[in-house]
Amino acid sequence: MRLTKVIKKEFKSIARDRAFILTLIVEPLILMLVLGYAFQADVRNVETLVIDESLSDYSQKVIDAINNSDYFEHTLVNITLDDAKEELRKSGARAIFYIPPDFDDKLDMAEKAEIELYIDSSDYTIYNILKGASSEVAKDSLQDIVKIIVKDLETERGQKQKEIDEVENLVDSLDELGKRTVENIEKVDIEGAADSIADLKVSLNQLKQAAPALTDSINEIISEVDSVESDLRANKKIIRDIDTSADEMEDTYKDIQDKMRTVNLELKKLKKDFLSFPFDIKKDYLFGEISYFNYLTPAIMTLILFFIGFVLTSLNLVEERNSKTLFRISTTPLKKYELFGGKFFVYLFVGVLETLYVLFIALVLFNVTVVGSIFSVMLVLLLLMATAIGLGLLISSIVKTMRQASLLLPLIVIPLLLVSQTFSPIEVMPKFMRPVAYISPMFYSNIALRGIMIKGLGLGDVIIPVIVLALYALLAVGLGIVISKKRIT
Amino acid sequence: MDYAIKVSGVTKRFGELIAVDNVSFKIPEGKIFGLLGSNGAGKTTIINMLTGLLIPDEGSINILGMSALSKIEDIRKQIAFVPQTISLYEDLTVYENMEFFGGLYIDKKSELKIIIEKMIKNFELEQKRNSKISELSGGYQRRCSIACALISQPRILFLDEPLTGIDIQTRELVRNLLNSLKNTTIIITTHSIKEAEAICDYVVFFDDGKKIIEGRPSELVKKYSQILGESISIEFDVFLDAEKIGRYLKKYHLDIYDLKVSEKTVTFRSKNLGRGMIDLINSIRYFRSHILNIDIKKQRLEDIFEYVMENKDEID
Repeated sequence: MRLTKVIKKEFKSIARDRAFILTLIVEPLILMLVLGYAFQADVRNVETLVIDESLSDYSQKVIDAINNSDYFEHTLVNITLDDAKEELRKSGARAIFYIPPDFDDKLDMAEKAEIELYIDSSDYTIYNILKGASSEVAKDSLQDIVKIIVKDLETERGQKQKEIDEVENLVDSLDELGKRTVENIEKVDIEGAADSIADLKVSLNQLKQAAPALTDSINEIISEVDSVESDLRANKKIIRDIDTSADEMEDTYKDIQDKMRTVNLELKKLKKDFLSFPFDIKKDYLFGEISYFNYLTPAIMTLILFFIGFVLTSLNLVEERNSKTLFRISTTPLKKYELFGGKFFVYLFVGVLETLYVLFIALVLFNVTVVGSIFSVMLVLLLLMATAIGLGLLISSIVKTMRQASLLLPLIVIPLLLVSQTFSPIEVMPKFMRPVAYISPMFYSNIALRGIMIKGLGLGDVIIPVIVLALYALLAVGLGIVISKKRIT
Repeated sequence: MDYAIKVSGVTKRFGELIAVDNVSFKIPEGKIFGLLGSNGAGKTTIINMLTGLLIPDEGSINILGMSALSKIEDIRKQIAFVPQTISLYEDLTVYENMEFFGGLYIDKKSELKIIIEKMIKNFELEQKRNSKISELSGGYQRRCSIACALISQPRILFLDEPLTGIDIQTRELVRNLLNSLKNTTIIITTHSIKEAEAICDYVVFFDDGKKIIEGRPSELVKKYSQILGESISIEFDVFLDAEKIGRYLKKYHLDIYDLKVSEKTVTFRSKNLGRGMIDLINSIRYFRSHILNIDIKKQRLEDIFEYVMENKDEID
């Protein structure tokens, strides 16, 4: 079998190339480190200046919220806003929080209070992330500020409740006195009735003091009680009238009681309003809280293997073309499919080892979690590798020199990488650009790998990208062989 | 006579350029055949067509009785090609390269091993068998390159400029080895006519994609010597005035061509050696000087190539 001769030769070649082996070992580590840590879409600890001209409990809460946010690394400064802006232009600071002097007053008056945030928009990522981060700070500080307001209201409500209780007691004793007066009148104990009325008047006056809101109705009662008293003192027999007055008095008590119930209800409502917001969005992450690193790992694996498969294969063939060994081989009985088949298997084998190694790094060194099956991950990566090698063969049949390769390869790899959802979802692209992503084999690998590794999907759930990848692999390898055969010399 | 290769009416164009223009020749089996010509004459294009790497636009090529168009796969099992560049795997050793290239023809491991050992011995590569190609000198690289091609014991061996840029020792060795291959037809392209004359049984001169002349080197020398005459150089004891000699010869004598004068030496061609000599010696008297040395040189293939290239328009 001539195929085995090619395989044997390629393995010997690779085994002897120490720099190549070292690259295979070091490259994934460096890429994982660099992409995983240095290349973060998350912005953290942005240098921020804070100017507090309010110097109130409320502004302190805002500062606390800034302090608690991961996005800002703040310095409290005692300079004017204009100076701070100048500072932003010159120094490493990226944002200014400005709390104006009337911040607390406006809040107390229940007016709209504003904090100003100035963002360094010369850096797009910072600008974009801080836009979102600031509302988080606003929400957090507002919650704390509302807590202060509610606490004040609670104290006020406690005092009011005391007053209400007092009024209620008074009303109860009035009720008692009223009843006694009526009884005395019925017994025609005029003296006793008059005394009761006098007591009643004293109590009514007390009530008037305790509940100023009820003054008018109490005055009304007092005047009626006064006429009853004067009638009694005049010894006039108008018991029926008194009866009527007593009835009216009872109605008035009831009114008073109703009014007081309303006051109680209003207080309760007030308390409820201030203790909680009207609504909040409760966030639930279907597949758990995800870090950018976890999001990136499937893509890094895709990237590394695609690079190895694509770049190595194409360069390997260009090298053979340059050293004229390809030319020499072309005059031997070795068939093209044997040559490419041999290379394909060798690089696929290297790819499998590299896949295992990358998985090992991800799982053991970087603690990446794979929710789904490792075997599904392996399968997807193998298909990707096959596609990459096939494309490599295809490109190498077009490229004639290393110089052409060094120009053409980045031209192919970089766009394929950028549209493949490696760093950002397809949604960042305008709609008309999105179909471009479907050209990239890495796009399918990323969908399938993220599905398996993050969502824990089975192979059946990601069967479409997997099938597309498999077809891609077949097509690339087939075309690679066909075109190479035609263009080899 | 059996012919290893028959080329008839072959033309190959690359766009506007006609690289090979209606060329025909036959190569008898077991002979060493030289394709000669300066750079760009079309030698490499012909070799590429003979090995199936290029397809001719017109004409037919027959190799070992098979058409190079339809039976190239079968042909390739019986031919071997040594390109001008080393074209070996530099990261593999001498032995590994032989194992790979030989393995493409010979399946049986034990058989392959015996032949490789023989090649290593023949090409005096014993000390270098485990050295990587990249560690070898140009001469050893060339030895290995040719050895790799010979492992399959091809019926036809193509060598593209096999003797350029190598040391005398290797050149001698390769020359002897090629001469000893009695059953192999060898096609060599070279621009070194001297080498071709030494090795080749038969040569064809190419220029601008066209065949100029062909024949056995000895026959070509004999044929063109009659046209060119012999080359004589005479050394005198005084410095010579080229203009004066020229004038003198022109005035009295006819059978001297290509006269060159340098310091005390006169070189010229003459179809009639005796007549030419008498003419010149007579002229010596006129210059009052003595002859120190006379050197008569037979024409070489090189001289003929030079002559043919200069006068190609007059040659059929």
